[in-house]
Amino acid sequence: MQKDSATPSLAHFRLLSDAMEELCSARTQEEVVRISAMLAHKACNVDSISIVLTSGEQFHYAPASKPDSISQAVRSKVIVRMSELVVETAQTAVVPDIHRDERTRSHTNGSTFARSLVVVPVGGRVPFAAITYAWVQERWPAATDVLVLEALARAAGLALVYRLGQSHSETDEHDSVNQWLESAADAEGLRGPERQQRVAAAELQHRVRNVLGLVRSLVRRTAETSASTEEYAEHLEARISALARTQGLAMRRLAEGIDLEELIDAEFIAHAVREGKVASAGPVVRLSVKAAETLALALHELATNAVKFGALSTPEGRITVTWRMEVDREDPCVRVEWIETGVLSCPPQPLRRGFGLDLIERTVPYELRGGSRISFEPGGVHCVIDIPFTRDNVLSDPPASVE
Amino acid sequence: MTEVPSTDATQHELAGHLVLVVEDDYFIAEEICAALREKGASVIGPAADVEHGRLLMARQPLDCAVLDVNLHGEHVFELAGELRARGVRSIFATGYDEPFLPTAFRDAIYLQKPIDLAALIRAVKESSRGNRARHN
Repeated sequence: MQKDSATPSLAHFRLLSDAMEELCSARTQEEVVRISAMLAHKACNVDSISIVLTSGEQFHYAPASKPDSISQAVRSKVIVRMSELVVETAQTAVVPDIHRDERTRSHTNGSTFARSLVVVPVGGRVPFAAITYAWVQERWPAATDVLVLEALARAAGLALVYRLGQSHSETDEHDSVNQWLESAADAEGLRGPERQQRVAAAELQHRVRNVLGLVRSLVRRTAETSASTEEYAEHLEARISALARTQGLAMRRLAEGIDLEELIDAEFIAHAVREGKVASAGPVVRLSVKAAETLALALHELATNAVKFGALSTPEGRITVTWRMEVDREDPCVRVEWIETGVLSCPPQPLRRGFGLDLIERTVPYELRGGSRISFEPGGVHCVIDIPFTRDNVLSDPPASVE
Repeated sequence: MTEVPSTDATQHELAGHLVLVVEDDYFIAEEICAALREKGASVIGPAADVEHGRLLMARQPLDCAVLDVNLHGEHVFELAGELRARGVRSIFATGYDEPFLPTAFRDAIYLQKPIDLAALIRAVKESSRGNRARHN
């Protein structure tokens, strides 16, 4: 590499100062990402950028490409792997060819959208994100390019922190707890990222303690309704696992909510249900963590019952889970239907009394202000759960009302 | 009351107490209510949100209230203020640290989640004292 190429020119400074100004005008995180991508394209011919936050959130933008190649970049394991690496080392990484680089070779996975990368950590000594600049072709970026991209990344990082904080308070305007936490952080004299961190830490602590409280009551209630130690251990373990799965889904997608289909799939996967035994279908619905927790435990009780006495205990048994938006009614809701078929003697045994039934028929009305009905039909258990379409429960937008 | 340990006394140490419970988690609410009832208290609720809590509060003279701080993203302090205006003390059950709690309620009893049920019973006794004296 030539020495003089490492000296940024006046044009570079010009570009960077313009960049700062443009980034300051961004109104949303997505705009920060889009503007950053445009600037990087202008400065260094970058084909796409990806921002991976340590919280798991990701943003991707390719100024001049088709949407399908963006989604390919989104799924790129290479980008996620490299982001984790640079956040850990707090140092920029240059990967001229992902197929030949030791750090990426085993993760390329056939993805060819990005061939060459510059990955920059942002957030100082303790990075909170990594920005990946990618080129479709193999490329040995000049030292100046790396310097310019580092500067762009830092500017984008600052803009992002600022927007992250702003969009938080904008989207959560209805959320009085958030406002209260923020004003408490203000009272401590905290500003910027520190203030955000304080609020986030308080929120996390609150969640963890709540989950511990929930686990403790599960331990107690399961003990009260189990006949033997073996049954107790088995039920408790399964219930805690169901709770843990929901937490896992929640942490990955805190902002946009938990996908209802993923939640249902996770429950069936946990019960090692064979393909063809179950079918699920419905529109995209994103639930709040709270609604997902309540529904996950309800689905778990239904699945457990199906394994013991219902459709998953007989070769002919099938389960169909469908959901739809019921918007043309006074109290719009997402209606989830669990229908078992092929269960010959019905009911072979009543659904476990106590905890299981308690959970489905009492938690849904109490926690979600919704409704739930369980009936024993000729083919097997039939359960209907209505989740009211409120901001507390459902984060995705309601569909346009049917004309 | 004499200090003679008696099962009756501990079993009914909250006999006649009217306690409002506001908590949005079904299982935690059930746990709190069961613990209070076991000691002889009459539980009003549980209510899962501020609105329901407010309805229940208006119906009868309470001895104290056990309130979860965060109810579906809505904080409970306004309700606590209304209760205080009626002379009812609140016990806060929360996963948040004390520095985050408003100064207006710094004199209240805070119970960290998961709640220590023995501490809850003591807190209810403690917070009801003034009110019970007025009722009698």
